[in-house]
Amino acid sequence: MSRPTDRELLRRFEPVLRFTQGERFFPMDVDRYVRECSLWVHRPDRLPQCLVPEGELTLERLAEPRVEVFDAVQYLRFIEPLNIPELAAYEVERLRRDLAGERKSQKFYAGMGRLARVGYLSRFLDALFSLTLLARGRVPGDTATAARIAYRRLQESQPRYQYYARVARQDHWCVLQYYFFYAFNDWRSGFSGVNDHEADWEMVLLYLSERESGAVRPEWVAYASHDYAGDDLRRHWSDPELEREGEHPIVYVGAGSHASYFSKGEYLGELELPFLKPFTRLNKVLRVRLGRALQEVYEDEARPDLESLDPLSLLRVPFVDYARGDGLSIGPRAALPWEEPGLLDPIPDWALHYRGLWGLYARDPIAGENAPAGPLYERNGTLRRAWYDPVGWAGLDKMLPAPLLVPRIQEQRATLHEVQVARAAVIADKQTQLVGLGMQIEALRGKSHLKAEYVKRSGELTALSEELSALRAADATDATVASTLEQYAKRLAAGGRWPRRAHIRRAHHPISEADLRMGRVAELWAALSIGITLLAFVGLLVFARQHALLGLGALLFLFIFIEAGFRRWLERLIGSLAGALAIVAVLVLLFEFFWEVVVLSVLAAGVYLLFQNVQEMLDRH
Amino acid sequence: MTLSTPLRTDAQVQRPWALIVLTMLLFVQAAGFVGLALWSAGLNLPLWELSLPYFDLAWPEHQLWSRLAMGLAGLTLLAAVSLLLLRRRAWVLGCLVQCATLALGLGLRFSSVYDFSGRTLHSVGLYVMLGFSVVQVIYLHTRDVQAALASAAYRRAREGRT
Repeated sequence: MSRPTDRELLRRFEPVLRFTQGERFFPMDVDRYVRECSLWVHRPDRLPQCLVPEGELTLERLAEPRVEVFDAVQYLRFIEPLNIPELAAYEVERLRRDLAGERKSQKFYAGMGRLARVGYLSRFLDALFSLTLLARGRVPGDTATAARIAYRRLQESQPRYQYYARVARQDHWCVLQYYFFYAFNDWRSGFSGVNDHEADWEMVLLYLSERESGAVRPEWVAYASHDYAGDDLRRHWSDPELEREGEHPIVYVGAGSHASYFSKGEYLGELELPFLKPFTRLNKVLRVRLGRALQEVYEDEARPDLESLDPLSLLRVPFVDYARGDGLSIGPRAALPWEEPGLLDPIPDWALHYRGLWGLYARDPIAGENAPAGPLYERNGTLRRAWYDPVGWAGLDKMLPAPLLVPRIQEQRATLHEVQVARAAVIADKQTQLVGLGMQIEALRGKSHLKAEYVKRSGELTALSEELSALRAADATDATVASTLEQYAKRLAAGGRWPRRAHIRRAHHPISEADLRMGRVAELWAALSIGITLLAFVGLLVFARQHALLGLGALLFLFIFIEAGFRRWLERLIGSLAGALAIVAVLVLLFEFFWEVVVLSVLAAGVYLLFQNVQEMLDRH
Repeated sequence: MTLSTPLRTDAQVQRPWALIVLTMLLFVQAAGFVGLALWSAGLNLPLWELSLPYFDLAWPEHQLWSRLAMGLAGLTLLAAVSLLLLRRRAWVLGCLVQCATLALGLGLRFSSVYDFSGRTLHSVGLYVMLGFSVVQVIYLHTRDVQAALASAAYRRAREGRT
């Protein structure tokens, strides 16, 4: 059998991408995109300067070497914001298509809002986060509309759905890297998400074991996703969470964000605001400590952390990523096939030499609104780990492909055996020395003129005895490890499986059906509650200023109580409240009866000890 | 499909020692509230020299306190019986009773209207009530009691695993 080429391998396992209804941007070729762009540079304390105007830029010109000052940022501009007549024309056309029912199958339905799915404090932070957009650099609101028009125009003239890919070989793994380029990320403006930015690069990796004959077998798949890294990114080929179309993994793409998910659904995520990080950490520590102090009980030992009961931290901004998979499908056996892929091996000049951003540099300090860099680079121009270490990126650097496992285990066992044999000789030698020292010490005992020698050899005996004990402990441990390796090798040889999901510490699951059933009242409450709180507080200040503090406390408590009811947290809330009140009561009691408590404690300890001792004495007789 | 299983019945579960103590304490607390209500209403003796300036009460103050104590006695009795029968809601009822008792006690202790500082008979009574509740809150949060009753956190963890 001839060894397949890289291209054949890539096409054999190319993913199927399933989008959400309403998605407007799909993976495309970079060539047409770049031709629509202008190239700019932003130097510190200078106005942005256009290096290559729109209409003159090509992939070749993009790859030309350019020397810039430190901290200068090169970036592409895909879109010039629309003027008012253009925007009005687009909206009128959209309205016409809505009325004619032409967009029915393409329209996005948000379902229950993200705010109804999270807590009161998170909603307050969300309002705060929205306000920060006014101060931060961001992509202008009508840019998304202009990008939709531009992308639609490109696709209408020549519809193309393309990905870029390469085959990397590292640490006995054959890694298929698929890159998807989108002209725009309209998550914020189109789907109530966190950010908008021009250009978007997403990635899917397949890890294959390769035999000398050239036969390959897929073992792991990793999808790039928000805020996940290492082991959490990958799933085993046989994991039921991973859906496949024959040999093609199915990727559910987040609407607007283009993040990749293994299962279809709506994903609740969280964004941590940088200035709230210390409070978030404190909150987590307190919850875990309090939970342990109160010996909270959890049935599932695999979820010992209190956080598992409340996956969202209170001090984070919520967002929903819609990856429903009910829209367009691209890939083998799907509605639309892939074009011939763009190979990244050898690395094309545009990918290697252009280290700038692939879209507008919005000067957003949180970076969410700045365009990403190319497939090789981070925004700061350094190489991406996924490029130079694709195996380590998904936490596979500690693992071997399955065919190599059994021979490698046997090697490990052999090495361990050699170590044990060498150590046995050392143990025997030291044991002889120890016995000799023991005899000498016994002979020296009571000989006052040999006291110094007795003390010296006694010290040597103690040290040697400890050393021997440590060697024997190490030997026993190695014996256990060898036996465990033996069992592991037997299990693997018999076709046994280890837990396929044991490596996952934090899995991202779609929102459950129960949460989606919270209903309209909860959504209405979520939308109104923050506003009502502020209005009620102003009312208190105006009409009952003397009770403002008490009133605000009562108001917040009432709202938290209602929230807890919606979220089925009432029992936890009442339990926590009882605990908090009990702590205050204990402090009051200690304040009032400190010395009485001390005396009573000593008395109780005395009586207990007396009882124990008397009982022990009676038992002896 | 949910992996949730029915609560264990009385016959299946060995009632832990902490649960027995907690049930007894709740019965004693209920009796205490009944006594308080009777003392306040039946003997027609106001417990404290009270005045409630912010509310226009139709009832005399001792009747108000009597009815409040009777209401708490009912709730406490319900919690005690639920615990005795290992009902699903027993844990939350127990916590609710202690919340009400502690909030009432601390409210009176820090009230600017009533004086419960010092070591008068009334204030010592209040401290006994607080101490009694604290002990019960501790028992309610013990591992044995929570496990036996499949407490809220316990159930939520289980129901989350579908």
